[in-house]
Amino acid sequence: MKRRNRALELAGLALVVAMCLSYVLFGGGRAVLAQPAFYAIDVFIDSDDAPLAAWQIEVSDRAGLALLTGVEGGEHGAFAEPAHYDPRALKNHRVVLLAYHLGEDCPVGRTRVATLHFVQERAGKPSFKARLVTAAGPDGRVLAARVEIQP
Amino acid sequence: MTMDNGHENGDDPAVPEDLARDLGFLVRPAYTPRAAIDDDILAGARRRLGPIAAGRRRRRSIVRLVPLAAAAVLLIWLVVRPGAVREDLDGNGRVDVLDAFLLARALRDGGNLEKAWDLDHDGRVDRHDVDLVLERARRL
Repeated sequence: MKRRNRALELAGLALVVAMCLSYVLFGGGRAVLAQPAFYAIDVFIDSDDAPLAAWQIEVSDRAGLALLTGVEGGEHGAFAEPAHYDPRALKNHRVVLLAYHLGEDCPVGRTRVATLHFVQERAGKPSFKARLVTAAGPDGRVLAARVEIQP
Repeated sequence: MTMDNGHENGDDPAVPEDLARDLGFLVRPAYTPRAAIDDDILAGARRRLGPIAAGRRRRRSIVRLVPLAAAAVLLIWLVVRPGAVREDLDGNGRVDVLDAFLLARALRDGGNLEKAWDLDHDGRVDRHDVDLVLERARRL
């Protein structure tokens, strides 16, 4: 009987812990905004003095607040078309973006390659993080480029 | 006076067969020789323990086969695993934009197009195969 009571106590404790974790992880405690907030962030890649012909990045919101609603192309003609991304990234907190250009007119130096549009329905500050997966020049050689995001 | 000892010429030491049989019966040991006991014990042990030993041998051989089977499964997975390897055209261990870029440049330049790059198996390497690589690379 004692053992059974002990098991019940442990099960109850586990349930409480699970509820607390889900509360923290999924932002259950955040207040819903009266009006959803829409905003955009620009994504830049800096390839120094090398021409940029292909790139792939990953952008995520670690706070799990911002939901992607759309992707816009970059400033240079080579990447004016919106980058490729998985449609499942919409309404998600993480997106993988990639694009390449076969022409010779590739951007050099720091260039805006995409603008990401987000909506936020819960209060709090999103924590965006961008990671360069890879970048290459027109000859396919991998470049040591940098990625940065700017609200 | 001479004594008849049963030998014709007195030099032959052979014992008559009948006598030997009778004597043998008389002096036959009352116990089973040790070698016969050992054989009996051995035979009994084989009868009882034989199936157990066979089972152990079977189990050992199965255990020995497990790593071999695991290696075979791993090899098959590495060779025929769907998608991951096929679209990794540059062989860098992952499918990314570089694979799509590599294929797109090869199509643009009209160079040697490998059969393995026909990812949709429509008999030709074209833009649709590039799209397949892109789709794979952008997947979450």
